[in-house]
Amino acid sequence: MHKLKLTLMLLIASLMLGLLGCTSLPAANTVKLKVMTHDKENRYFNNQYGDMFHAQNDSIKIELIRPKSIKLEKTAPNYVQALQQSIEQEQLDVLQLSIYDYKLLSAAGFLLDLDPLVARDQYNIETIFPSITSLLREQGGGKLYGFAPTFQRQVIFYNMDLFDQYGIEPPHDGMTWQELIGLAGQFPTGGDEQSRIYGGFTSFGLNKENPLDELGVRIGLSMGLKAVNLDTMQVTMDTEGWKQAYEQAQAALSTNALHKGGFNTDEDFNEQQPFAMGRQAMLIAEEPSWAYSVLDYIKSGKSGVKPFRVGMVVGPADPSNREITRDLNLNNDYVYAIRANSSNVGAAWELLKFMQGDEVAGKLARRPDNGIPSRMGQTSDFYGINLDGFYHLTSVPPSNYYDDPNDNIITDEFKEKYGEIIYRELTQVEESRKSLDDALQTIQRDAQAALNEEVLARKVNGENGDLKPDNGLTTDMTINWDDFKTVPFK
Amino acid sequence: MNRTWLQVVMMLVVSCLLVVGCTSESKGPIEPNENQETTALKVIYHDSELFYKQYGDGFTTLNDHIQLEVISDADIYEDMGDKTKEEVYAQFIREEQPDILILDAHQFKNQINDGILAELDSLKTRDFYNLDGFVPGLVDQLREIGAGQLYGLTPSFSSKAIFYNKDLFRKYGIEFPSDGLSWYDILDLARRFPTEGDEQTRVYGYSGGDVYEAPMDLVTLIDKMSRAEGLSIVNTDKMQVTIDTDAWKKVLQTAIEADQSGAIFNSMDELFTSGTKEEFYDSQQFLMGRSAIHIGSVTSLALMDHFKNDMNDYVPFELGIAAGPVDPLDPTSTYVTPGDIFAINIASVHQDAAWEFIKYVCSEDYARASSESNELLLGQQLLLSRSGFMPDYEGISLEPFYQLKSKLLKRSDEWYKIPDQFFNDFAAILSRELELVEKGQKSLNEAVATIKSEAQTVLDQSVTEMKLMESVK
Repeated sequence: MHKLKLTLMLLIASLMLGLLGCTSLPAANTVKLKVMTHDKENRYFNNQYGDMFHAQNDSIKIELIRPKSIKLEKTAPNYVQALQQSIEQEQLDVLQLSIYDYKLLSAAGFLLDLDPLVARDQYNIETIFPSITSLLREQGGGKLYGFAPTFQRQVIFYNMDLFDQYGIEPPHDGMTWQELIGLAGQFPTGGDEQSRIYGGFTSFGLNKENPLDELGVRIGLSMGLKAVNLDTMQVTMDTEGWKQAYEQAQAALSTNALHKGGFNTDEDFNEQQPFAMGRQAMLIAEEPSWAYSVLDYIKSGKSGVKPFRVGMVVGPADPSNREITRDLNLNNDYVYAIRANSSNVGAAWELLKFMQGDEVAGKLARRPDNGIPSRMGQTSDFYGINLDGFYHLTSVPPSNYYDDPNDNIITDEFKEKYGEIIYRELTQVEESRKSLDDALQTIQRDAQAALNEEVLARKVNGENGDLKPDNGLTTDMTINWDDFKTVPFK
Repeated sequence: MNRTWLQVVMMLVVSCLLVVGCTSESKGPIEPNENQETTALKVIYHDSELFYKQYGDGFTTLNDHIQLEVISDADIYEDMGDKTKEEVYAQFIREEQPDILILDAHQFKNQINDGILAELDSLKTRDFYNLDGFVPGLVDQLREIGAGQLYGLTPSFSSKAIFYNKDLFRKYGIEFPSDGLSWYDILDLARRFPTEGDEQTRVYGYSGGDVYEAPMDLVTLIDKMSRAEGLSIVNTDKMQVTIDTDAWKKVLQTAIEADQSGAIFNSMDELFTSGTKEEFYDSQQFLMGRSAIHIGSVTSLALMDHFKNDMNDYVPFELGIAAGPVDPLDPTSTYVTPGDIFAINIASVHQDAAWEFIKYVCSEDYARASSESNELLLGQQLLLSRSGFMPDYEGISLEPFYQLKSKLLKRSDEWYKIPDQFFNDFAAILSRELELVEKGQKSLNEAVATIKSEAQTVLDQSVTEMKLMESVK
């Protein structure tokens, strides 16, 4: 029954594309504010912002609207027009935008410049996490066109008790991968896999099939490296930067201080995470939600291990500028902006101020695993983790491995070929059958050939910017009848 | 969209099962705030994410001083040893000592019997908490489980209604179904529609299925009919199979006639398991305007609406909904399933805070908020217990779902001890014997006698095994 319920719930949740729920009665003298949403469930917005806003503003009524999706590639020349059209068609007042759409629409003059309103109301934007405001200004061509009330960012959790026990200096903000690896290497490496201690770094361990690649890529990304330069259509793997990254990874793996493994569906979820079991000194967690679920488990005492103290720092930092970490992520939420031609600018601005306000931040701070409030100054002490730590240093968006932040230029075919090449070459390095230099040269050569082929194929097909073929009509579907069966006569 | 909806669903199911596995059980802050006024309530639910989405987040938004901690009971039955589900649950409650329990009807009854739950009437009276707006009968039924006392409340319930195609009824000059029809009335109406024509163009009187439409074979029809009358196949006082009563024989006789009439979409060969989206839609007879009647939930309504919008060349028809089906002996009630029943642990030291929370989830404010984002309700075939907050779905009135008095199926404690295998075996015997009746190789009475004796043998075996299990303990 439970499974059935779950199936049903998801069935509906995933089907509610553009469906409105039961309509509620409109009240008199209220401004109806049309707010754009991408979520299938209105509940997310309402829980996060809507319910609280309504409780305080009788005169503004939010209506959440999912505009029709645009069946255009983001690189299509008429993409931004189509986007504007779909927004105007619904006469949306407040827009929920990806950072990419925010950039395009602000450049097109479609969004309302917030600076005059900020100045008029003396609205405090000084206590918004500066990394966020900088990003929004940068993408808005110097002006502020929106707010992003929450963000995610990578953090390093560490087991304070383990550091104390071995008398090792705990990590601090702004350490580089190389320094963190050095720190991890100070922990003892003896003992069998079930009881030994690891220095770091991931939840389930580095992919044991190819740990060199996984770690090398992570180190490279912290330095802002990319695999491809799309301006020149050049693969950029045989470079000094990548060589350094992989050399550091090689050295790190040789210390045997890092946990290698991978997630095994047959085993207990939490018990597979040495950090959760008190046997790993540091955990680099990409998202707070993930990290908090680990903390929950530790607190629960279910591991059979005495709950230990956990500290948090931000990093790893870019070795060329230790004030910077490349991990700013708005993806769990969006940028909220006002349509310049909205006839409800006043109400829309009230909503934006509220969403970016202290009260919402205070609520978000109570459950920061849903995203860290970008409005600073809340003093949550959720599970002993000081919220303030998330605002340390400067966070910038991650560097994009394929130089393709919107995932619309580099094809899956290329990525697949590229993955095969990397795997083939780096396995040989790990098995000491090839030098790193030779492998990087081969990767460069073969991947470049694959990219050239890809560029050629695209030119021939003229695919860029065309409608994606809609093969929904021919796609096969399957229903597992047993999922919907109940016990007869029971 | 390149993915069909079912692929998306399956993907989500997989990812969700994973998430269910990953999210740890307690999401709320465990540590009480330094602020002394803050109360932390411990709640038992199967999925903490779902709990917060449905209940917790809305509550904490409004209440700064009460925090919630969810303990999941999703995994407690995994390693049961030789204990029953009831025993495992009771032990879990003893160990966890939650402030609030969230229960289904069966668990609710057990917890009342065990004396675990706090009585709510005094709190309700003290606070003048109004229960008048609930769908008729629901609160009374919960009270009945508590032998006259109220131990729990539910914000939602699941109910069915009779959907019909007005255009088809008009075309064949048949009167629209009225509210409060029984299965006998429904089948009578269904059999007035023509049965000729090839499978692509013919019309059916009735098309069944839960959630989405599927062919309804004879056993399924009997199952549905007997449920509407609250009939059971076993008398648990004597542990006897009771298929030979007059009420049962009437159900069987009527079902066989309907099954043979050709009016029901009943060929399991037509069951859609895989194919193109077009083929799937084509298998949905009522949706496609080829069936006159279908019994469905609010979820069926939402799904049909989605399917309609998804099809390019859909030819719409006028949909009618009537209240029902009912037991002909009790035509003003219908069987419903309560949603989550909220109750307070009698041993909780936070009785008032727990009551605040229950008041909230059963309040008009909660109903209003839930109706504005009703996806979770729709996904679980649930309606709000408080009338008037879900007046319609996309312009189609939901009033028929609220019209009849709600009643809950009553089963003895023994009933829940009978293993599923017995019911499946019974269905197999029933199917085999009734096929002989349909072929004219056996009379109904002969078949019923065989079903009774064979099923009794299986039941006796189950009972012996049950006793063996108990004696081991």
